Amino acid sequence: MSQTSPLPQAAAEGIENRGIRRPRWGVAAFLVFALAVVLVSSINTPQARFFAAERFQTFVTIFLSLFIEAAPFLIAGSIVSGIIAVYVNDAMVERYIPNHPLLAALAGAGLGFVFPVCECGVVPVTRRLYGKGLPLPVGIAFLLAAPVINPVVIFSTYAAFGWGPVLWGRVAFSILVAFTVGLIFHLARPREILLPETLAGSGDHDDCDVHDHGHEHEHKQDHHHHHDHVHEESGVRPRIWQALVLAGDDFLDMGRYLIAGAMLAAAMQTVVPQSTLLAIGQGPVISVFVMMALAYILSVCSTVDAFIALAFSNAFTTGSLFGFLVFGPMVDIKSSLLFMGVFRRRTVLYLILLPLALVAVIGVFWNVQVGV
Amino acid sequence: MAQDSASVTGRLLRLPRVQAALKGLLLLGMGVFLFTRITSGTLNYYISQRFDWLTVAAVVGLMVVAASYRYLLQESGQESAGADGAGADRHDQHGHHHDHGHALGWSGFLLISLPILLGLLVPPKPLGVAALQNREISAGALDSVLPAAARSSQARESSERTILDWVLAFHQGERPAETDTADVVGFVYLDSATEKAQFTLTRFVVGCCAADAMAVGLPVSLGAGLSSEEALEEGQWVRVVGRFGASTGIELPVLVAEQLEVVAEPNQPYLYP
Repeated sequence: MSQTSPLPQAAAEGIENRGIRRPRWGVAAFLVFALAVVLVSSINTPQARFFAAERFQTFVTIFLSLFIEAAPFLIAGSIVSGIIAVYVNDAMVERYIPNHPLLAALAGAGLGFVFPVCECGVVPVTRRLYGKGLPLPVGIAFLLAAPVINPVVIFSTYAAFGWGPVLWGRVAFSILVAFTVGLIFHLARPREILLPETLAGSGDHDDCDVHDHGHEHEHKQDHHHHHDHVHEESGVRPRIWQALVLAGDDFLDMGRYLIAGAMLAAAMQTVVPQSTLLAIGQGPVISVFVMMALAYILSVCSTVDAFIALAFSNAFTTGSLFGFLVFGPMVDIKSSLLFMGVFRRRTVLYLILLPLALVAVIGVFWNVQVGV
Repeated sequence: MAQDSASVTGRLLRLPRVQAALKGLLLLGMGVFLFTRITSGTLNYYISQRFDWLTVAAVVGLMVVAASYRYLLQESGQESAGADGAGADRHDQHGHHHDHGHALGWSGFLLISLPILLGLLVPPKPLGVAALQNREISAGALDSVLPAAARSSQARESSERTILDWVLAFHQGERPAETDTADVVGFVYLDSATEKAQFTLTRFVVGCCAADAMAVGLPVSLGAGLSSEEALEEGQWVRVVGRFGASTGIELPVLVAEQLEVVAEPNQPYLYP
């Protein structure tokens, strides 16, 4: 039975898994393709082959550096998420999160001060909170704002730029954009936006038809019942271990997207010459887009991107720096892949395009109206 | 047939015990991998020294989380002992509360282990000449980028200054004095930046991780009595002792090497602002 050739087996497994794990094969194939492009891009002569090998080495170094830099934040975010799963219930979320859409979106934008997480850590936390019944706008605003609106990043921006338009502009515009996008999603229904797994909290419902849960009463939304249930039932595991297992699951789950994102970012960094990008863009409009593109490609952690922005501060206007400093932490290659573990694909696209449009408007407006 | 066998392997993989064991091992492996990077001293090929403690914390976190899977294993072990013969479906009824929504397929496991695999298969190496192919050697904005570093660079003794210190000092308008002797280590980059210089002595400056690396470099020409550039290999780490020539305008002064020796790659290949 198990002696069949790997290809149909893999394909069959893909079919079998389609319901629960959609992006897997597509992403994997895409990554292999990207890798191949990196490798093949310049192999003609022995010298070129040497350089290709060197480039591959560079790719591996950048990939691992992104991963090693992000891994601590992701594991921290996952542990917070695991603790939320076990110790926080829906009622608590309901009690503390305001219902009014305006207030909710605003609360989401400020939530970063409560959970100081960066763009990697914020994703598992948001996903878990959605499972606990967090309203859509709050989560989206949190997701977009938290990488900037937290003490660490504000301090590092201050360290880089001092008190000035760049610092307060970054904070204000990040809140504004996150708030606006959050508000837009107020109109949407969670089921259309979130992956079914997200809605079910840790997503442990009907992933395969052979599994009979035996929890007839279980509803997608009341996830905490589920865990309480497990706890009473098994009793072997102290709750903290339960939280840690969930943290591990989250880390592995999100880690896939982080790794895929880091690979893409590293491939882009290895192949795309920065100078070309910077050479195109000097006008008040183009420069904003160039800096946003650069932020998207570089995928550096929001805690340090201020220092990188400084490197461009002489050549670029403040408006385009906002493109880098406001858009970059919200969405980059790494985080857009991480989003795919929480949201439906179309939502991920909106989550990229809406901030892009808003930040572009802000940046261009600043360039044209304020100057400097 | 294919469907059957696929569902057999798929189901095998999704057994709570198998999942728990593989996940625990993977997390453990990740922790061990990071730990070996710390002990082998190659961690700073990837991230700045400043963030070393974060990696240590990540190792601890991964280990603790990996250990928690033991409970899951024990639990499903007990279940299977209690219900021997009931088979896979029996397993599925237990312990799946947590691991099933997160059940990883083969490709998932492969993707997660990629950092470990690439880390083991490709020997660790810091960024080098190849990374310069699509990066520029930073010139202008550096002093505004690194104001703190710029201040400390001026306070430093000339013989202790790094490439970064010199570049920063020059950009702040300092001009080399006759008595200034530079003693710097970097790798050889054979570009054609200036005609007067034979190569650029280069170093990467890393703020956070290698993904944000910026290159800084000093143009170097070989003083009389030194063998010609043929001996120089691109990417070779060298120590250069010498004095700076006069510079015109905004150009960096050329460092005239009086002494040039090949050195091993330093333990800290990057400079930190």
